[in-house]
Amino acid sequence: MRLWHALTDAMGTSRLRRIGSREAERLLTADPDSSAYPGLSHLLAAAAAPPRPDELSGLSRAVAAFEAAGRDDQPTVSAVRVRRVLARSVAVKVAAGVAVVLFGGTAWAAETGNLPGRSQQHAHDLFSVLGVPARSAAPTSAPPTTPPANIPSPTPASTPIATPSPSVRSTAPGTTSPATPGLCRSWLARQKNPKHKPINVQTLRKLAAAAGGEEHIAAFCTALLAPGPAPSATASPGAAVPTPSHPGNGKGHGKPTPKPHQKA
Amino acid sequence: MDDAELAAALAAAVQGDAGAFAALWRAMQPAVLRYLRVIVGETAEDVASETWLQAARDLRRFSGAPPAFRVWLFTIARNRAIDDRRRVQRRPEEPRELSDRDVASTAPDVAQDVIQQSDTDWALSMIASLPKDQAEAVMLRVVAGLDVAQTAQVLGKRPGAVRIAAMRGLRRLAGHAEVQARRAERRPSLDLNSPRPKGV
Repeated sequence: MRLWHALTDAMGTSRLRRIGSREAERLLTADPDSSAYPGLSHLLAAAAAPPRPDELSGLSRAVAAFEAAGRDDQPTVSAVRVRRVLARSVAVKVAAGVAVVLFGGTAWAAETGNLPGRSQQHAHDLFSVLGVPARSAAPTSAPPTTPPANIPSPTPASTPIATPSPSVRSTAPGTTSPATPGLCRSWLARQKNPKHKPINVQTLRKLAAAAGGEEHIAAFCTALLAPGPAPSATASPGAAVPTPSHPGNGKGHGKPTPKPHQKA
Repeated sequence: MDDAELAAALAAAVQGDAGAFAALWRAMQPAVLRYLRVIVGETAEDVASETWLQAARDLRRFSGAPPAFRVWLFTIARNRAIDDRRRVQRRPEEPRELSDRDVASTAPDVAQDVIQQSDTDWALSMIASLPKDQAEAVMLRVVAGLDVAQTAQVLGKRPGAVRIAAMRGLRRLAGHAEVQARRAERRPSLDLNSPRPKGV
């Protein structure tokens, strides 16, 4: 037992009953006189004793600061507002910059016909006015070796000045895919020159679908690419009218464009 | 100052009344200063001053009742104290470890202790000898008069943690030989309504 006392003394723990949470709460809030721990209650009461005069210095400085803050309040508020407005305008600029970079890149890709097929078609639908070409199979299926004889002068229909003869072959009939002329060119080139790159199955299928049968492809394509009025039997009257939405100067025809392509 | 008076002063001060602000200062400054003496030691006066500068600047935007005001004010005091300790740490000529031990060693002014070691000074130095979380919990509960939830708010802890810290602090204080020695001799002389006479 003596050992136990020595141990608790050494550990600095009280020989009194150990303070529990309820007892602690009473000590922290209640009248110190009712405490079972007079020493501790005395300490806590002394810690919270009324202020001494030396603890009440500094009032005038605090009040002066309070009054100064009152005078400065208006400018402070407007300064905060200005800062907010600045922050907002910076944010708007950054957002605009990001949008230009993102959208600009997409627009450039769309304009040069470099978007994946479906996206290119969407871009075309949305921005045909700006000269975004439609989805085109030309880059893949119309190699640069296409005989020049088949290609009319590739004046972009969207070029505002001096379009000599907006030919049908530079535009696609409304009822056929805009890629069809390119496919036709490939197909015809293959027919004329057996050494030409073979037509792949998908191209053939598309052409057959457009022509209404594989055996009609020759007639269909010849008619489509021939200069003159609407070639397709199913074409609507307006189909042959060149529109800015089909500049027709699909990428990769191997012919220099007379003028630099300009964005509207 | 009871809560009703404090509420009235608070409302007027928020509207910009300097007299009301002075009343708030008188009501709260002693507790703020004592809390800071326990957690930052000798720079407590400066930190208290910074606390009130910030309070003076921001009080017009404060909205809330007296309990919320106490939490707000002691949170400012605590943040300023943390800043002060960072400043001290950065000062190379005064390398100081800011451990619990350090808080204990920077107890109330030595000079003042020599001249006038009051019961209050003694009590604060005893509380300052506790581990820091316990010392803070005890000070905010006993001196600032915050309840468990408010103390937890100031300290950014869960109420359970605050309860345990305060309880451990009390246990430790109760077991302290000096505290036990004082209980017999000092208690009758403790006069809570007037400043301690010199030399007590």
